[in-house]
Amino acid sequence: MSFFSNRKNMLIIVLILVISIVSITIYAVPKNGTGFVTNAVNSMIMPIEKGISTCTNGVRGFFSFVSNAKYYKEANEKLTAQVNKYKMADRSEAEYQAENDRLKKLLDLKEKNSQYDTVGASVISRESTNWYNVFTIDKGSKDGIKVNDVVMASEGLVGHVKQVGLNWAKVVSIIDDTSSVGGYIERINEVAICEGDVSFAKDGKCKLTHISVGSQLSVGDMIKTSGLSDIYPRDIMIGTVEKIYTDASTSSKYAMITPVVDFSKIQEVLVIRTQQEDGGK
Amino acid sequence: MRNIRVYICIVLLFIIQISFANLLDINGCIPNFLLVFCICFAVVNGLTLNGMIQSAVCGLLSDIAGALPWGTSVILFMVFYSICTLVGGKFYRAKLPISMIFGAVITFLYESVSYLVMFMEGTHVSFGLSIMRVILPVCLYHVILAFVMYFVVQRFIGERPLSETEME
Repeated sequence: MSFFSNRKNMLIIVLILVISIVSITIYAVPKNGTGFVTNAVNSMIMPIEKGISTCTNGVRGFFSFVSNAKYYKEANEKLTAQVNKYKMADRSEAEYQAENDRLKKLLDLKEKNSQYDTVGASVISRESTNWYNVFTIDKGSKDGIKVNDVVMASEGLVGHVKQVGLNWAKVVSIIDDTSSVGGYIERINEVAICEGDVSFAKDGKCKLTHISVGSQLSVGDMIKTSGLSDIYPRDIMIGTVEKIYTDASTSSKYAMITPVVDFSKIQEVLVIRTQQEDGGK
Repeated sequence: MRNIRVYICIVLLFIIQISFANLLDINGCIPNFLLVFCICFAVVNGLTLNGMIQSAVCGLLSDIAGALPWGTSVILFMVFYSICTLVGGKFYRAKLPISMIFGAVITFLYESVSYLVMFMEGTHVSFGLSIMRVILPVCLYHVILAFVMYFVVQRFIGERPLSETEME
């Protein structure tokens, strides 16, 4: 026990104890933020800790990666599958939404054209060699579809039926160079012919011809069907005038029309079924 | 020279404590190298003023590395040092087992005080659960660590040369 009876020893021990108690007391007193001493000491040891931590994390990371490689692989595969599933679900949801919107528009169109006997159909293929100018739909003669039946989309006119099978039909779009639709320029109350043109069809456009010489046609004019042809009924939206040209040799005008229907994206259509065998309306 | 070796050991252990200790956790139990060193050092060294100060330094560094209020471990380490030297001094031939037994007992006391401090700070965890999940596993860990640390202390610091009074 001589150690504790030594005055010097006791003095130093008591001093250390007092400092420790003061330190604990300071710690125990509630304060805002971190104390100066704590802050200073931690600031000093922080770079050491950081340096060592960087090294140890590297080593630990390497060994951890090696030892867990199998787990990571499995987890990666599992998560990839999960992400794909979610992506698919997300895409499906968006697709259903888009389809729903399209069908809703088509229904509106059907209601708007309730005077006609119509049937909805889906586009099942496009003849790619023809720049999407001919479509195949999933309805045919068993659904009452006949050649020259008019085909519409929610936005406006698509074309007419060219060929009919039992459960399919081929539709020629208005931008096909074999197509010709009687048009009506609403603003100036004039008629013209909306024709397909190979050079315009590449951009999904068609051509407005037979415009009278003194016509006041201008860019932005809306073109609708005139109802003068044997096939197309009146007042179906065709498109808008995008550009007007003048033929240098004949001084006649023609215009480029942007159809309201985007033929590269069309998916659902409405077919107007003719009542008589001769097809006229 | 011996004192310098002690301080080098303490600093190295502090660096290990703040850097590698988390990597050596077993079932969430992190060892306290400075505490185990203090125990083994006390058993090997015996009661001296330098030893007492060195244990206080161990305590201070343990506080810096840990979460206890600064000064808590200083007092505790000094008390533990005193206990270890006084009790351990009576067993000249069984210093290794004594170090290991102290490794468990002192750790139990230290962790209990840590629990108490945390309890007073507002962290209320069931004491039974703390014993089963933290204190006893750490005690066991420290027993094994004390086995290794004892040889480290013996090898790098060695027995303290006896003073003239002790020789007499």
